[in-house]
This record gives sequence, structure tokens and C-alpha cells, in this order.
Amino acid sequence: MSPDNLKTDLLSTDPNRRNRAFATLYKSPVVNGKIRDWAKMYNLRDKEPDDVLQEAIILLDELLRSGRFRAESRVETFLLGICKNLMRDGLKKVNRIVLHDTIPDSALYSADELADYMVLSELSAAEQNRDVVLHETMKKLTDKCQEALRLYYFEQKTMQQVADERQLSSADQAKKAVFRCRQSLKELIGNDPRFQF
Amino acid sequence: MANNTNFDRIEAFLFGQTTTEETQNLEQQAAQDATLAAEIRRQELEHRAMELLVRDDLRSQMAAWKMEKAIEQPATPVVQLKASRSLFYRIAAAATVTLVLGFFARGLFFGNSAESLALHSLEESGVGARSSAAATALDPVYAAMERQDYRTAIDQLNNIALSDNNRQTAALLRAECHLRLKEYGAAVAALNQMLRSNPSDDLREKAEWLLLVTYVADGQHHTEADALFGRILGDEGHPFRESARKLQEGVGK
Repeated sequence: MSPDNLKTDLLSTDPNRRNRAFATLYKSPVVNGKIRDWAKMYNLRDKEPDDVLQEAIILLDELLRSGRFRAESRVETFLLGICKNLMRDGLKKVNRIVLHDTIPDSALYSADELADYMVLSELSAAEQNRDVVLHETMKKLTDKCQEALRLYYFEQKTMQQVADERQLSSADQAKKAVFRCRQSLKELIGNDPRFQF
Repeated sequence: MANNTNFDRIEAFLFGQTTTEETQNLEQQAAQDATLAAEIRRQELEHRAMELLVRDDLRSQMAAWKMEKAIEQPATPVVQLKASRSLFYRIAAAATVTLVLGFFARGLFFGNSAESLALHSLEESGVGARSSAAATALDPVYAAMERQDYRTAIDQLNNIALSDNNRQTAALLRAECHLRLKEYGAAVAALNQMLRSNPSDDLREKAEWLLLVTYVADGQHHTEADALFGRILGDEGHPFRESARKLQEGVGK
């Protein structure tokens, strides 16, 4: 996949195109080779280089969805910058990447330099506990509900798009389905004493 | 929910779709309306739950790609540097001994000797972990460090729920464990991050000393070590000033 196609697919709202782009990145021999080299320099403790790559892709996905990264630089370089940061900072539990306001052009071509313009926003212990509880909560929803909510959130889809993808008869049907699932989620969260409001 | 205009406003806010003015209005209202504030927190949790769904879905995809990658690109073992490093340093040590006999000069005397000196200075300075008299959540970490089981101490630090009171102390302990395990990169990263977090004077001074020891032991950060020598030696009240002076003399700076 050419760099331009990779960029286009990553910025696409079509989940299949995005997945294809992420698969290309994940399997890239250049990316994997570089991470294996760095793994010799840094102590990854009980993690493998592949764990670092997966975590970096999760963070890159969040950056793209939030619009904070619009693929201005070569995407592999950016991904490697995230990997370097993760390995350098001891592989803490990272929630998101925060980019410096200005990144010089020269840094866009070097993973080492890019790494210096990123800050890892860590998950606190309380936030980690929160996520564990939320994972447990989500398991109580049906697969269909999880899928409807994922679609709704992932692309901030309109109800018509949810209806089309789930082959529902109308946007109203989709809205009711998502509404029911959100209501279920709201009740599960509201009834869990571990969450304070 | 369809009639709840707050729901739609909060959704737009959480998706980042509100204008600056709309965001400010919502935040100001929430500051004065506890019910609205609770609604926002609840919807934030719902969004976080959905965010986790999206991430889990991508992780599932990657699990499948991992199997494909294993077939398409058979993994070459990650050669642990230690094995080849050991041979390298045996040769380098032999060469160094030869050089040192002929050239006992600053700049050439780095590597293993500086590392030994730095780690000796660490012991002499008495900066090592000491538990407080009262029981704390960090007691298992102190116990592991007392046994010199620094790997277990780090694992325990990863699993302890830290409070604001002990977070910075935990960061310092983590850095000390990495230093004692000679994981200098991780120690440097942990100490720099800790110093950026505005620690108390006591913890800052310990962190500065540990960072200096790490720089000297690692032998890779000469500029940063010089700057830190200057900082500690220039601070008459610094508790590790004398230790830093001895270390500086030892490495011949």
C-alpha cells in the first residue's frame, strides 16, 4: 500500500479501509524491524516487541479518531515515534498521546525526534480500576448492543448509517436500538456502587 | 432520553462537537447544577465504556493479524544484547586495561570504572529506600528492596493502587530499582518524569542525586551529568552535595 493510500485509508470513515491500513502498519517489516532493534536497547520487562506495537496502534487510532493527528507526517514514522516513547518511558499504562502544539518540520521525518514532541498521558490507578469495572459492565450487554454502541461511538454515526449497517428498516429503528442499548448501559453504570455520582 | 436536551448537549460536548461558547456555557451550568454535573459524569463513563469497546475491537483485529504475520514473516529471535554485550565488554575491558596502563587520562576512563564508582557512591550516600515507621501501601516494595529483589519490587509498584501521598515516593523507588538493576534508560526516564512532576524538596534532592549517579554509571549523558554536577555542587544546602563532590573527584571531572 502506498503512503498516500495508507494515509487516505487511515483517515477514512469506512471501518474496512481503516482496518486494512492498520493491518498494513502492523505487518510492516520496516516498523517491526525497527521495534525489534529498539527492544534490544530498552528493558521491556515481561512484554514483547509486538505488545509495544499493538499498544502504539491503539494510541495512533485514538489520535486519528480525535482529529489530533491528521497524518501530516509519514504515518510509519509517527507510529515509530509512539513506540519509542512507550519503550523509553517504561511501558506504563498509557491512555492517550498528547502532541506538543508545534512540531518542527525536521522532526516529522525522524521517529527519534518525533518521540520528543509527544507526551504520554498515563492512566492513574483509579482510572485503571475504572476501566476494569467498565469492561465487566460491558460484558453484561448483548453482542448486538455492543455492536450498535461501537458503531454509534466509533464514527459518531448518524442513526441512518447505523440502520444501513445493521440492516434496520429506518433511522428511527436504529435510534431506538441505540437508545435501548444506551439505556441499558446507563442503568448498569448507575446501579454499580463502584461508580460515584 | 429523546426529550432530554441535556443528553444531546452533553453528547455533542463529549464528541467535541460544541463551539467554545457552548462548552463554556455547559461547564458554567454544571458548576452550579449538581444534577447536570452528575449527568455529565455518567455520560462520560458511558463514552469511556464505548471507547473501550472500540479499542477492544481493534485489539481483536490485531490478534488475528498477529497469526497472519507469524506465517508471513517468521519471527527472528530478538537477540538479547546481554550475551553479545558480555563478549564485547570482555574484549573492551582487555583493551581498556591496556589503554589505562598507558593513558591514565580523563575522558578515556569511563565505562565500567565510572559505573563502579557511581554505584559505590550510591551506597555510601545512604540514599537507598528506607521504610517509614508507620505501615504504608509501599511496605511490600520496601521489603522486596531490602531483599535486593528489585524486579519483584517493580512488579509490586505496578500493582499497588497509589494515592497522591505516595505517588512520588513510588516513582523514586521505581527509579532506584531500575538503577540497581542497571537499567539506566528506564531509571533516567523515571527520574526525569518525577522531577517534572513538581516533587517536594526532599524527594527532588534524592531524585537529582539518583539521576546524577545514573548518568555517571551509564556513561552516556556527559552534558546532562555536568549540568547536574553544577546544580548540586552549587546548592550549599543540598544533602548530597558532599557525595556529588566525591563522585566528581573520582571520575576526574
